Amino acid sequence: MSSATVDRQFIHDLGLILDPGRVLEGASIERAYDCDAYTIDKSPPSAVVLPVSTEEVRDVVGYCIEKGVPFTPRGAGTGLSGGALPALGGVVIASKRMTQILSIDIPNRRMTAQTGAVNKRLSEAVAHAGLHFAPDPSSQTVSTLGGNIAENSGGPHTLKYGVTANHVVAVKMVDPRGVIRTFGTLTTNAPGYDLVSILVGSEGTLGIITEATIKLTPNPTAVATLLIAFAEVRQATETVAEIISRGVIPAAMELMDHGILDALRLAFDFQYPQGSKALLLIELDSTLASFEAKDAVAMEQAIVEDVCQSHHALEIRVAASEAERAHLWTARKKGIGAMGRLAPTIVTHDGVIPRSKLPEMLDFVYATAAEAGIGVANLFHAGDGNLHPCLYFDDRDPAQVERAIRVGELITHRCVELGGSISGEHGIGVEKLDLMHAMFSPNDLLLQSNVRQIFNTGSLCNPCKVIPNQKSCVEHRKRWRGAAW
Amino acid sequence: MVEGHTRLYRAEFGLEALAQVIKESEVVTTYGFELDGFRRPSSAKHWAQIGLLEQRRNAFLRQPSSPERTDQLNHLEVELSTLRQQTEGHDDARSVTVIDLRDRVGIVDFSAEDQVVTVRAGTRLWDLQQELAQKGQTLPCLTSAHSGLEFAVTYENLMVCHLIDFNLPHGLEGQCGSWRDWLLGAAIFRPDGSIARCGSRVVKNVAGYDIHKMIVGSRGTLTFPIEFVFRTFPAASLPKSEAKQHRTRTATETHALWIQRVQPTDFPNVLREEPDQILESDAATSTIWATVEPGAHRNRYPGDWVLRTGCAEDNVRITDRDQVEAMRQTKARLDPDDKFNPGEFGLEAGTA
Repeated sequence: MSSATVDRQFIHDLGLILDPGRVLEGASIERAYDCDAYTIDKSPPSAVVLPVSTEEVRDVVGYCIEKGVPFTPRGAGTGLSGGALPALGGVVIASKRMTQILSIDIPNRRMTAQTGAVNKRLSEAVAHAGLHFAPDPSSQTVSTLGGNIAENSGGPHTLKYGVTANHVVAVKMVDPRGVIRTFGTLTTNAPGYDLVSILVGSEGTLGIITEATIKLTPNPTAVATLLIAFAEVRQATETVAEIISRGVIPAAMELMDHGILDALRLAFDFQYPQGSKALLLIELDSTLASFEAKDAVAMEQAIVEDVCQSHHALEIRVAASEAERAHLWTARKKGIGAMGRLAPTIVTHDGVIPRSKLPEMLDFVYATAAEAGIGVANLFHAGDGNLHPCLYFDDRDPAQVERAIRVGELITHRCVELGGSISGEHGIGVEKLDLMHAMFSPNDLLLQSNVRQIFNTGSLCNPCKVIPNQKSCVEHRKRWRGAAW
Repeated sequence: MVEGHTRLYRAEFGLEALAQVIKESEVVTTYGFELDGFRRPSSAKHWAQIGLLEQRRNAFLRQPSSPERTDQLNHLEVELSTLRQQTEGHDDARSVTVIDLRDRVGIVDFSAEDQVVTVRAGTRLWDLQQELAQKGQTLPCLTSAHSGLEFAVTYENLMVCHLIDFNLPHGLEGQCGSWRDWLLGAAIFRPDGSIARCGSRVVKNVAGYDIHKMIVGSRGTLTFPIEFVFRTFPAASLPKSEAKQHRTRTATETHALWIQRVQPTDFPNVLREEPDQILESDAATSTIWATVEPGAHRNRYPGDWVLRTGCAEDNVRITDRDQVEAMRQTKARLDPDDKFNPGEFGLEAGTA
């Protein structure tokens, strides 16, 4: 059954399983849920449901299976690769009403929450105890725990603290057969196959995770935040590699190029030293006892400043207070938003390269975009080598859309050629299905496919994601693109 | 175990030859510098050990008689008898190929500024650490020089593939993570002899499922190792360990090893319970290494886990229903003929 064959009776029955008020349908719903933050491909759902519990998710999934209707989980819809796109239509199972924090165990630094809880709220709930949830994607004020788990989200501070996978110890899920299952333990690294590691980052293709137990990380006891201006992007990228090779691992090391600086100037009138072409935002921190922490951070700061100066930094600003720290971060946090001043459409790409290849890679990004006549600005996690070239163009012009897609593909292929990955934190979704072949051989993809079958042998649970060339998906791809235009 | 059905293959002839051996074998397991004692007796490792000891015994029998020969034969017979007793009822009639990885060693590539090293599966941790140290990098598990801890010495002598097989706790886990956190990618053989790669060679990657992380701790039951890609760390800025040596194990001590991890709130109670049994502890992960009499137990706590030696099938026991079912499904999908180190987790129907 495709979305076209979801009938009134099916919608009515969903209303009996939940209640009619939590089953949404109609033209406005189709439009609101036909894509996530990756807007190039679109496919409308037949209905959107808002369960409040794992049991309700199970009941909805069970009914979809019974009727052969595809179902797609969705958090806040901030994903950037189309992971929440209802590729074959059907039912979107949204976690908007599953926002409860179920338990907090401060002494053992664990929290269990429903997966519709917003990332930022998790940290706020334990701030009084000096703890936080470490993954901090830029979307953290709206993105959900479930979305973070599905995409294995990162963020600026993952350079030191790791991605979401490093912070999830157990999950409760509804599997693609409609069975509730739990995996993981309260203590880390228990014997047996690590199935939680497979589920985190599986983009909702192996089931719908409804609750998760996460680690809580102590807040740093000392922090130093530096914003360094350079006259050339290459000086900034070379600085990044040298800081790491000098033995310093900052908590965050973010790079913004002249495209972002222009956007920030236009949008917010931010001022930078004359001749600045790149900014590096570096945060150093320590969780040692406070007297040791200050010394440790000061020692690292001295090394960082030394490296920056040796690469001809124009200016090094150091935050002297929490307010100044927040101000220095503003450039990073408002960068993407500011790009709205440059063009109607922004597509943020995601790829990873060995950080020593950053200078070479950025040269390639600028040259490729220029050749295609597409604007590009870069704001990214330089410490991880995780690029985010932001292409700006006008999506009302199909020719520009095609060129932007082509530029994105060339950039992604170049990441692989340089020994990197096609995605560092946005996931594969539908955006990069075809690019999986660039990174993985047929044998590698067969292994991936076998792993998918551990949990999902059907084609109803978030179909057409992660594994390329799935049966019944290929013919739909043109339709997604057509819907976007 | 059918006598004569074990063969030892040295992995020195390149991947193509190795692929053919794996493809043609009924049961495959690794051989080299590894941990003894933690495995269940049902493991193919045990069947293989019996086969190899039988081969040694037969070779002795062909030598001229001498008092030394008699001594060694007697010693071998005792060892064989113990192993046969432990393995009884767990083996099957399939022949076992034991692949010696001691020739598959060394670094494939290493970039200190990218913090990434690719290493062959048979490389010993000690040798890897020496190479990394030349460029100021390390894998952050305690070295004996760094810590003086007994378990650090044990670890250094092991091959990386076996450290990954077991994912045992180490003294910097609370500060720097476990093998699972540093492993970025892997190249492996599948049961049909094909080679597959998973993960990547960069420090951040979300393309595809994190299969390499599932390999960690899988005790060689899902794939056969070729190469691993690790994230390295600056040696100069390693944090301090909270691991502590309580006492040293004596040479004559025959008690079984008991490794237990509990939640932090239970850790003080664990330390108070029979403190003389505790060899080492790590407050950062609430883990103890202790010795107990074979078959004896220390107290268990909610959410804890235990690994042990000398306790047969209790060396590792997975009891959670969802976990066992998913592990069986995993084994069925990745190794449908049960070729790779069968019996290690007791996943056969009705045994776990």
